[in-house]
Amino acid sequence: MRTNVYESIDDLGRGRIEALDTGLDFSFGALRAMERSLWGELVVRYLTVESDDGDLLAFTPVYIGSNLNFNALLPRAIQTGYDALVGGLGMAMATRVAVAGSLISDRGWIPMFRGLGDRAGALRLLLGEIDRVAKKHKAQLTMLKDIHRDFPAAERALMRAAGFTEGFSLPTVRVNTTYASFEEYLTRHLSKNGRKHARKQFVKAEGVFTLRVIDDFEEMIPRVFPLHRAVFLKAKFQFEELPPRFFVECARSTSPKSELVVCETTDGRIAGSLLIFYDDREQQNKRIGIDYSNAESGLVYNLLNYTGIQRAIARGIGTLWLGQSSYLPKTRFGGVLEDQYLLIKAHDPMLKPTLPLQRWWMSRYSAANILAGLEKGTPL
Amino acid sequence: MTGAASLVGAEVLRELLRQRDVESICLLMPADGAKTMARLIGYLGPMPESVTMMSCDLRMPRFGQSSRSWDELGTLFDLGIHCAQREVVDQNAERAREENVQPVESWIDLLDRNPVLRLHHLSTAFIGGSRRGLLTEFDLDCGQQFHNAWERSKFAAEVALRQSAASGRVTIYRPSHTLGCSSGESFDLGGAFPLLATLAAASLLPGDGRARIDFVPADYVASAMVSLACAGATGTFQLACGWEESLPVRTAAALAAKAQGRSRGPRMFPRAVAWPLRLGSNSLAFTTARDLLHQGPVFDTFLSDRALQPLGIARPAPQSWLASSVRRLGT
Repeated sequence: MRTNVYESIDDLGRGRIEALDTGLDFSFGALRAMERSLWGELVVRYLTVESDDGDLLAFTPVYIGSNLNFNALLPRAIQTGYDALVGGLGMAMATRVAVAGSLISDRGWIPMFRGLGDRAGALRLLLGEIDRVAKKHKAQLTMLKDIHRDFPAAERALMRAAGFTEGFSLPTVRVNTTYASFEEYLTRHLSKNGRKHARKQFVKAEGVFTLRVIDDFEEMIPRVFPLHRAVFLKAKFQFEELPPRFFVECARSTSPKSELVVCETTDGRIAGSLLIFYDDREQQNKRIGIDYSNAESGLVYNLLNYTGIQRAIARGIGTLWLGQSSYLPKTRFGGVLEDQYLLIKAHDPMLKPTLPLQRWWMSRYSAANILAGLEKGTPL
Repeated sequence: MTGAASLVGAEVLRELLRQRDVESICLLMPADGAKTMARLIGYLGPMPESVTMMSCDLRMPRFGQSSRSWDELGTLFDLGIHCAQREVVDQNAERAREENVQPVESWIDLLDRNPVLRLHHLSTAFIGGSRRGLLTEFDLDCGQQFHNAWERSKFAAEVALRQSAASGRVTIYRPSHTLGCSSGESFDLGGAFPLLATLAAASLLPGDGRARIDFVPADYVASAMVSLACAGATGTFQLACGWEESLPVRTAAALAAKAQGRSRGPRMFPRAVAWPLRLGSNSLAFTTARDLLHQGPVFDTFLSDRALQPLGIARPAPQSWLASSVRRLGT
């Protein structure tokens, strides 16, 4: 086995990636959309482990730059202090970070060839290459982003052994959509209250909102992007800041397929939109956009999500990923929170002592902790 | 058209004069407009008869016109181009409001009176203020703070236009740091020339050599504005280089210094050091450098790229024209 580094997803090639069973998060189209939407000094490298014959065995994208919101999960005071430091002393103070994984993933891991015998060996090689690339680009921190709980624990142990400190990242939300119809989902998947809530939303929407699904939505982007931008600017955790080009690339993607659900008022104004990625097995509600000036923005949010669920059921897709935010409504939709882990390694000696504190702070993002908060009425 | 006698305005007028489907142009000029007109003629050449001049005071409600003249003015034209502005980057909020917000309120009144009127408003990408992240053409209020009264007042003017009932008939242009034409010509040394002059002359400045500075030439801004106006475009268009083509401050400073015959650009120190020492607190050039030579917003140009590409208007890379602007500064 040997490692390799590619500067573009096109150099790596769609066919080679698809052989790895990447799922939606590491699909060719999603990674290409991200690559073409990078802004500022952010760069991406694709690190691979290949057989001696050149077959792809494992890979991960690594994004490197100082305009990544690497401290989005840390206390607000630290974020403000960091911003003031960079504002006052200049870009020399900005922390360069290498993030391994998809910046827009709902559920992260390291895609590997299913029949790979020496997974541990491949992972060690890849971790070594991540270190090398991070140092080459003068990264002060490396993060393995959102490693999902389903990723083998033994392999997470290898990451820790390679010097990474493990903490919780925001959990992802999975909804089981293996139902014959939306009605069956309502009756079998949701509680009595959840069912009542869902039906009420559709009744309230009658004569007020209409929903339609658009496959070829590139022309819609100037109309819906402001709504997605509004959600980003309002979000508690502001991660990757996506330009309009990202949505254009998503509209053009065929692997995964994409579509846009649009919620319109009777006068034709767009009150909300939902960007969906899907393949034969799973679907992701990737980005939601809401017009907060609409008094019924909560209803619009629910309608878009229920429509997303309807789309998955209608296509016979068994798993729907709802994303890493707004846990209260997503549990009402029957979503289940699943733990994810963030693994951090500091290359800068000044940052090393902060890692135990970061790990302690991020323990609040465990699924159990967030669920407990929801039950107490103190959602994250 | 207002502000014809300004860095961008003069180029806009030049472009308008080239348009065959523009029947007549009424220039709204201050009381001493005759002198200004003479300067404009000196720069652009003799004006055709289709160009007329009207004296007005943009700082006053109704541009200082009587109610009757105002009513008439409202029906005289179907395209308004507002380039007039106070570009001084100081903290004089009152004057900035008078000269940058009040005229826009009068324009909104005109838009209400004339349902076919469309307004094309020259704003600035620096309504992004101190934001250090992406600034898209869809953004306005991102919770940003402002360095000076100019940025704040241009932001307030955009807010007023976007909140007006006539918002759908308003097009906003947000250029980044604007310098002279890519050929080296310029009507005056407004826009970003004072910043360039500071870079050229100073030996010590608060700044960040690694930050990027985004320059565009006035003729690009003007041709984009006029072409989009004639094409009936609406929305907001950022006319900027974006991250890829913008220059590191250190490179821009070295270029400016070279034009002044100096071997190297100014040495730079962090602005956090400037504040406690109160260095140059009375110097406008110094405070401008302190505010603008650090990393600010990164301008996204999605809508303008989409709209200008079919019109054949390409944004020239700064390397290809900046030296001529610097030479203009030298003369």
